[in-house]
Amino acid sequence: MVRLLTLIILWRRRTKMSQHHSHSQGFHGHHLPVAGSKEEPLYAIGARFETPEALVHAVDHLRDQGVSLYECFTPYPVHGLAESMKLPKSILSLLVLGGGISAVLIALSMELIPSCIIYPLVVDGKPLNLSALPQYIPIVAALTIMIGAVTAVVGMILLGGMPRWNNPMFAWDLFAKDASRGFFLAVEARDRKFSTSALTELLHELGAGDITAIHQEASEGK
Amino acid sequence: MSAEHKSLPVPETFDYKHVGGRFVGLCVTALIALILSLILGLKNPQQFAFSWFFAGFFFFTILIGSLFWVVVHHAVDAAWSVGIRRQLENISCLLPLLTLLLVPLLFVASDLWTWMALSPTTNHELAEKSAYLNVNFFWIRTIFYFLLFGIGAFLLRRNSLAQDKDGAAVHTIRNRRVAYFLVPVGAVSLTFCSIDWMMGLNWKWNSTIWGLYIFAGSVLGALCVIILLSNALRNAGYLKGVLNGQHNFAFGKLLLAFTLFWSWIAYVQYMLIWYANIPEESIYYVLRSSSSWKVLGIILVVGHFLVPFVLLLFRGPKASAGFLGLVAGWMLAMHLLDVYTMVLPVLHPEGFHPAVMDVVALLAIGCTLSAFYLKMLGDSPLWPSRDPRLAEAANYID
Repeated sequence: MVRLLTLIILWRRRTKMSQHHSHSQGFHGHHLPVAGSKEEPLYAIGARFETPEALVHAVDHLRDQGVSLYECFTPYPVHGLAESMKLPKSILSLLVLGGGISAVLIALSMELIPSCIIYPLVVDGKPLNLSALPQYIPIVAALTIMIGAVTAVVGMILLGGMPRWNNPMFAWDLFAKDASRGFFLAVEARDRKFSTSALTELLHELGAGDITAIHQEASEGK
Repeated sequence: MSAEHKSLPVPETFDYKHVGGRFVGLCVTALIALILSLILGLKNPQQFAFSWFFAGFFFFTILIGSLFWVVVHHAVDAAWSVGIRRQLENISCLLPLLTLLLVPLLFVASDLWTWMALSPTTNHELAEKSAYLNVNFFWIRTIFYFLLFGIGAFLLRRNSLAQDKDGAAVHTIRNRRVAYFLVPVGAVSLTFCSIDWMMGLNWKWNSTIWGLYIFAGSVLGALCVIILLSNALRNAGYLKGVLNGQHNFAFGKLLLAFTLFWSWIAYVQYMLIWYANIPEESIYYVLRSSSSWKVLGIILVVGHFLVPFVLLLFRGPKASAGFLGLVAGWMLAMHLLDVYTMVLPVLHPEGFHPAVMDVVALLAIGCTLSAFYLKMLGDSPLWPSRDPRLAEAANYID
């Protein structure tokens, strides 16, 4: 599953945001605007692109440079982005297949065990064996669709990393308030190739705007 | 990335060097089969009636299915199908020719539709239905169906060809109007013509879902034909600019969707009739599940539903045009079997009874239609070359 942030379901802790808002702006180290708390470790370098094409182009370049720990945030699914990011095929379809097959088994056993084995009851002259299969199929089909659909939706949410209490990206005010107004990219500080100065330069060359160093927000106790 | 930035694919016209002697072969086969049908028909008019109707209706479903795809393309303003639309238009425009090919049925109509030989004055059951089921009204309706679908197909193709010349968007708007008209009127007409022709083979029988069942088979059959056709054209080196690998996914998904649609309609019809168990309704399935007809029914369940369902379930293979072609060919054969089990058990209730006439009728009608289709293929560009959505279609991403 492309972990395009499903912005609607993101859980946010607004109270935290406002607390540290005052000192989250300004320049730091490499003359980058800083988001979050400077005392906390650096989480990522964030950048905003104006067009989906620019974002896909940037991802291609980052991959060429060997950067692997990065995340894209787009307001809608962008064609070609998953291919550029070289995301592996999601296991969601297998989960749905598993859900569907178990639904068939559940439905058939729910119907056949009581009405053919535990309490055989002839209704309307219909036989009690499998030659009466047609009458069992509506339940099988309905349950297959239902469990398949629920697996697909729940699986999508879980595989997308949801639900979670917070995302360090929300320390970045521009992203938190305006995530639908651009195509965002964040390269995480944990990346092997991470270098603030080199990345800033590269992202700038790739046409990114609003390049920001995103720190985690200060935790509650501090 | 976006479609506007890419240049339009250069229009292509079919070159008959790819057909060569096969066109003559097709014409000769058609001619021989037509003459043979005449001889066999005079010998055994009843077998001729049913075989000819079986073959004619099979091709009718494909033509009407193609018309449906053109209509739905315009009605929903689709982009992905621009590349295949011209061929769908060509196929659906064979309707007047098919009408002509079906004229021999006029002479054997009472063998086929036995109620025509009965008199409502002596048959009380027919008298009850005679307000609808009378000979004059039957033929008026039949003429209406062919006129409606024929004119609809003609208009859609004519506007499309006009757009090739001047590139004006107004032709798309006009076609959209034709489509909006044909969606409701065509849906009702297809329902009634399947009732009149197919259900009328046993005039005492009825099924309320019958029109939808015929529709499901028609759309699936036409989809199979267009997949096979676009594979053939791509193998000959055409359509490369407008059909890419992404279109294969679209074909595959639609094939799976309409396989499931057909299966569900067929199942619901069977289940409701089987469960209610009313003699006048269940007679249809009693006939088709007794003696050797039962085997064909089981082949339909397995081959028309289970096999393609499993094959088409996975995304990977659907990228391959070859795989899709195989499945489409298989489904087309299954659709043929489906029409066969609708028609022929009425003539041979004692069991499966293959006849030379069945094959001859298929060849006669099929080869004649194919020959005329080949003629149309080279008459116009292979796709609507100035359609407003052509660039979008060529860069379609599934």
